[in-house]
Amino acid sequence: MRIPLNWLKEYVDVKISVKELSDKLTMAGTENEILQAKAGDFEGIVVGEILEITKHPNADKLQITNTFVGKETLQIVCGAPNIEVGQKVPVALIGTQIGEFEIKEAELRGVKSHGMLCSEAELGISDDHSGIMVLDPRSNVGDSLSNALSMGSDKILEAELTSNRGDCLSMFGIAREVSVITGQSLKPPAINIKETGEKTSDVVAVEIGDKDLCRRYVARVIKNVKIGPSPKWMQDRLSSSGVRPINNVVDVTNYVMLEMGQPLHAFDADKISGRKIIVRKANKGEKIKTLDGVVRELNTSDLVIADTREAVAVAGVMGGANSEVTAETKTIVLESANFNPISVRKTAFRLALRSESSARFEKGLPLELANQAADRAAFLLTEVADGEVLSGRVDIGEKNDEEIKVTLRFDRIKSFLGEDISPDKVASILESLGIKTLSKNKEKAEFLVPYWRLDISIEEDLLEEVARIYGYENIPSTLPEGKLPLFEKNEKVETSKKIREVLTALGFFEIYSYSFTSKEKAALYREGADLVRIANPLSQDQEYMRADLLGSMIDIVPKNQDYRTGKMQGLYEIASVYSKKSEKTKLSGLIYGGGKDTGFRYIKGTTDILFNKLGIKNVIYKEDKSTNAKIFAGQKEIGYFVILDNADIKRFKVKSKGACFFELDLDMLSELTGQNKFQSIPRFPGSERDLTFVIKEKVTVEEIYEIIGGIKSDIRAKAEVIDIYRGKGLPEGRKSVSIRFVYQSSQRTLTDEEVDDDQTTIIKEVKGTLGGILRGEGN
Amino acid sequence: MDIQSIKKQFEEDLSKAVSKDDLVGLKVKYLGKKSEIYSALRSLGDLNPDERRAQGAELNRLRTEIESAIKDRGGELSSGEKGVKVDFTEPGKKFELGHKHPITQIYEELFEIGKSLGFSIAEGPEIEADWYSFEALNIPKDHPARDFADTFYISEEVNLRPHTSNTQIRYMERHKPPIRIIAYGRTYRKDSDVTHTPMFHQLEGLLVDDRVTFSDLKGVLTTFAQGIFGKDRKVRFRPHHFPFTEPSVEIDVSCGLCGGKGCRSCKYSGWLEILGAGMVHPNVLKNSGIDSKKYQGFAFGIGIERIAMLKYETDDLRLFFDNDLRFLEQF
Repeated sequence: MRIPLNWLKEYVDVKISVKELSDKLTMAGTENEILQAKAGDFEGIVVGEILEITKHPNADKLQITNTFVGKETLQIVCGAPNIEVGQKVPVALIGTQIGEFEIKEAELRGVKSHGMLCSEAELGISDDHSGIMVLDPRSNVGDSLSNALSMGSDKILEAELTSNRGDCLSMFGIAREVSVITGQSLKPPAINIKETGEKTSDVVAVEIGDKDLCRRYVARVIKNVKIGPSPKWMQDRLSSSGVRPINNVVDVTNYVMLEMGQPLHAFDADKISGRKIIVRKANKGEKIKTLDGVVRELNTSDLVIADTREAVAVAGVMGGANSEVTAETKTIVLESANFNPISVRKTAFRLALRSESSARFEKGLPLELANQAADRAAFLLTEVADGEVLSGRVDIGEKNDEEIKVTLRFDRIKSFLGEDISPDKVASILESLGIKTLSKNKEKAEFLVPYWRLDISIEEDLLEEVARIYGYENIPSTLPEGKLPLFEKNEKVETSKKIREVLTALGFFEIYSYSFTSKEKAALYREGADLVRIANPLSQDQEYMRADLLGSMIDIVPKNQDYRTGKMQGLYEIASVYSKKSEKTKLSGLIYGGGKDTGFRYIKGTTDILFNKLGIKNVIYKEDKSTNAKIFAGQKEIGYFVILDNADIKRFKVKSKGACFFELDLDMLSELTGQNKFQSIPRFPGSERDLTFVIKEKVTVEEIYEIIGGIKSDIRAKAEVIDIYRGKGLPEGRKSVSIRFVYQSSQRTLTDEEVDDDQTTIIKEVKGTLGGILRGEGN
Repeated sequence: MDIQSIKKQFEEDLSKAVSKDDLVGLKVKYLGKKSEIYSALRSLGDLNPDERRAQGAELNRLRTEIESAIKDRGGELSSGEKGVKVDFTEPGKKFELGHKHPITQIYEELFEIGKSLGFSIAEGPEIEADWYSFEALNIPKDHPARDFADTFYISEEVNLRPHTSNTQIRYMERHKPPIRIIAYGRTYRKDSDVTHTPMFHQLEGLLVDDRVTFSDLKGVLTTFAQGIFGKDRKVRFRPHHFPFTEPSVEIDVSCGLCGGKGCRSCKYSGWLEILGAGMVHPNVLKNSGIDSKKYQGFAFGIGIERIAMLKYETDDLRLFFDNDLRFLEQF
C-alpha cells in the first residue's frame, strides 16, 4: 500500500524525518520503503522539457527531440513511445553514468544524440521500462532530478502489509500505528453531515438474502449531486496512492476506502429497479456486465447486489454497468457493507478481478466500520459534489462484532519474551494501541481488544504487541539454557556427505533437477511404475513425480553438449523418487561423453570405490536383462545399473559413443555402511606378475577367477583383472584379458621359483579348461 | 697417483653435474671399486709403514672430501635444478575435480552451525497430507496460502509440501520436549519466474522446551545468520506475520555490497531479508500433541536458494536447476 506523507499528516503529526518514520514503521512490523528515497544517486541527471519532436528519417521506432535543459537545447534521439511535446523528463547529460554505461555523444542511425531521456527502470526507481519517466509539470527545467523528485510531489512510503493486519490497509490505520510509535496524537477524519428532511428509508430498501455472506449493509442516499472532476487535492492523493481519478462521486468512494479501509460503492439510484437492493447469491447462469465492459457469467456461490430485476454489482468485487454513475446521475445510493472475506476472495479470484476493494474484504473488516465510512463519504459528497444527504441510514444486519477480552499474565513477559518489562509499561504499550485495561493486579490483567484489531484473540497476540512496540531490537539476544535433547546422528545425511566427497574426488558434477517431469521421462527403466500425477501442473513437462532419476538426468546432457566435448563426464544427484506408496531417496550417477568404452566398467569402478569407502562388503552385480544389472550387497538388492543402448543414446540426443547409469538406494547404503578395519601391512617384500590371456568372448571374468581360485596357493595374495582389450590384432570372437597377480608371505621373502611354479600351473589350467592362450605365444 | 690432479679433475666434473644421475656417476668414478682412490687404498699394504701412514691419511681425507662434496651437491640439486630457468607464468597442471552443487554446500554449512548448537537433523515427506502441510500449522481451509495457484496438489487432501514445516509436526508427534531439530528438503510452490522456481529448498528449525524464549530465538538465529554471512554482518529482527508462529519475525542481515549504506542490490534499505521465524503458535503445539501450557518454543525457516543467491551474488534463481555445467563448475 502507498502512503503519501502529506495525506498521512492529516491524521497524525509527523515530526521526524521520512527516513526515521520509515525505519520506525518497519521495525514495528509495517515493512516499507521510501519510494523516492533513491534521489541521492542521480548525479548528472537534470529535468528537461521536450520542445519539439520530429520523426527519425531512417528508423521507424526512433524520434528526434529538442529538449531544453536550462541553459541549452539538446538534440536527443529517443525510442520510447510515450514522449510528447511539453513533457518534463529526466535527461542524462553527456558523461553521466547510467548503471554500467557512460552516456556519450552518439550517432543513432545517422542522427546525432547529445544525451539520453530516461525511464524509471534506467534510473533504478522501479522496474518500469515501458516508457520515459514523466515528471511533475511543476518541476523546474535544468534542476537536478533529485531536487525535482523531492519538491512538489509528495514523499511516499510503499508498505508491504502482513495478511493479519487488515486494519492497516488504510491511511487512518497507518496513522494509528504512527501515532503509537511516535507518541503523537491521532486526528480522526471529519464527519459533519447536514441531513435534509427526506428519509433515506423512504427512497431505498435493503434486503439481505444471505446473512453469512453479508453481515451488515449500510446505505445512504445523496441527492442532487453534480458530477464532475473531484478537487485537485483529492485527485493528487488518489494518484499518489496509485488510484486513477474518475469523477467526484467515484473518487469519494475510493478516497474513503483508502482513508478508512472500508470499500464503498455508489449506484445511480435512478437505475435501481424498484428502489430495492437485494443482497443474494447469483442465480445459475446469471450474467452481469461489469464496469470494465466485460460480460461475466456468475455461479451460485457468488454474492451479488441486485435490484428487483437483475444483478447490479458483484458484491465487493466490481459494480455493474447497468447501475453506473455517469455524468447524468442526480441521485446516488452509497453502499457500505460487510461481505464475507472468503466469498469475495473466491469470486474475485475466479473472475480474475482482484482489486483494492476485494483485497480489503479478503482480509476481513470490522462491522463497526460500515456506518462510519458511509457517513464520511456522504459528508465528502456534500463537500465535493454539492450533494444533499438524506436523513438517516438504512442499516441492515449486525452492528457490532463480539467483544474480545484477553488475559495476560505478567510473568509470561519474562518467561516468554526473555525480557523484564514492568506491568505498568506493558499496560501502557497496550493502551497506546487502543487495547483497554479492564482489570489489573500484580499477576495479570484483562484487556479489551478494540474493534479494528481482528487479529488479536490470545495471550500470545498481546505478547507480540508488547514486543513489537517495545522493540524487537530492545529484547536481548541469548542462547537457550534448557536441557539439551539427545543428539541423534542422521545417518542418511552423513552417508550423503561421504558419497559426495568420493564422487567429487572422482570428478563427478552434482546436479539438482526438478522432482517432476513428463510422463515419458518419469520412469524410463521402471516398467509398470505407479506414477504420482500432479493435478495442477505448470505444464505437461512437469506433470509426473519421477520414479527414477535417469529421465531428468539424461535431459541435461544435450544442453551441455559443448562442454568439454569428447571428454568423459560424470553427473550425480541425490534425490527422492516417488510412487503412490512411498518416497525413497536415491543416489544416481551417469557417465557419458567419452569413447566407445564409456560405459559400465567406469560406472562399476565408481560404485566399487563408493562401496569400498562406505565399508559396504559382498557386493555382487547380477545380470538382469542383457544390458541391465541389479546390484546386491549380500542378499539385499540395493540398486541397478543400465547401459544405454544406441537407440536410447540417439533418442535422448546424447552425443556419446556410450553412456551408463546407476541408481542406488540411499537408505540401504546408510544402513549397510560399515567401518573399514585395519589390515596389517606385510613386512616382507611381495612380488607382482602380470599375465595376459587371449580368450573367447563368452568366457566371463568370473569363470577365469573361478579357475584361478581353484588352484591352491599359500603365497598368492591377489589375482585381479586389470585390463580387457578387444579389437585390432586379435582373432575374431576373442578378447585379451590381463591379470595382475600379487604374491606375498607374512613369514619370509619369496623365491622366484615358487612364484614361477604357481604361474605355470595357472597358465596350464586356463589353457586346458577355458582355452585361454598366453598372449604372444601363438597357438 | 697424483692426489691433486684427481681433486682438480673431480671438482671440474662436479661443476658439470646437473642431475642426481650425474652424481651417482661421479660416486662410481671416484669412490667405486674401479676408482683410482680405491685401488690406491688397496695397494697401501705394499708401502713402508711411514709412507703408508702418510699416504693413507691423505687418501682418506680426499675420499671424505669427495663424499661430502657429492652429498652437498645432491642437496642443492633436489631444491631446484641449477641452470634450468622455471617460467612461473606457465599454467599449473589441471586436475579434474568434481563439484558439489551450491545448494548442497549451503546445506552443509547450515548443518554444521545447527549441530554446533545441539540441533539434530530430521526429515519429512515431500508428498504430504493436508493436515501436515496446512491444517496442523494453523493454516485453516480458506487461508489464501492455500489458493490453487500457490500449491501443487495430487488430490484434494494430498499436496506437494509448500514448506518443510510439515517436519515440525511429524517430529513433535513422535518426540517429547526438549526438542531441537533442523529439517531439510525440497519444497514446492506453483510459481515460475526469475526469482521463483516451482521447486526450491528450505531448512527448518524447531526448538521446544519449558523455558525457551524469544530472546533465545534472537541468539540462535544471530548465530545462524553470522555463521553463514560472517561475524561482521549486522542482524536485525523485524516483526512479521506467519500463521504458525506468534510473535513472528523476519530476519535481515546488513547488505554485504554497500555495508548497509543502501544500494541497488538491497533496494536502498541497507538490509537483505534472509529468513522467517517466530515463537511456535500454541495451536501448532496442541495439534502436534504437545502441552502448550507447559512447553513453548521457536521455529524458523530458511530459503536455501535465497542464501545461495546472496552468498554467490547471482540474481537468477533458475540457474540453480538449469544444471549448466559451466555454472556448476564455479562452485
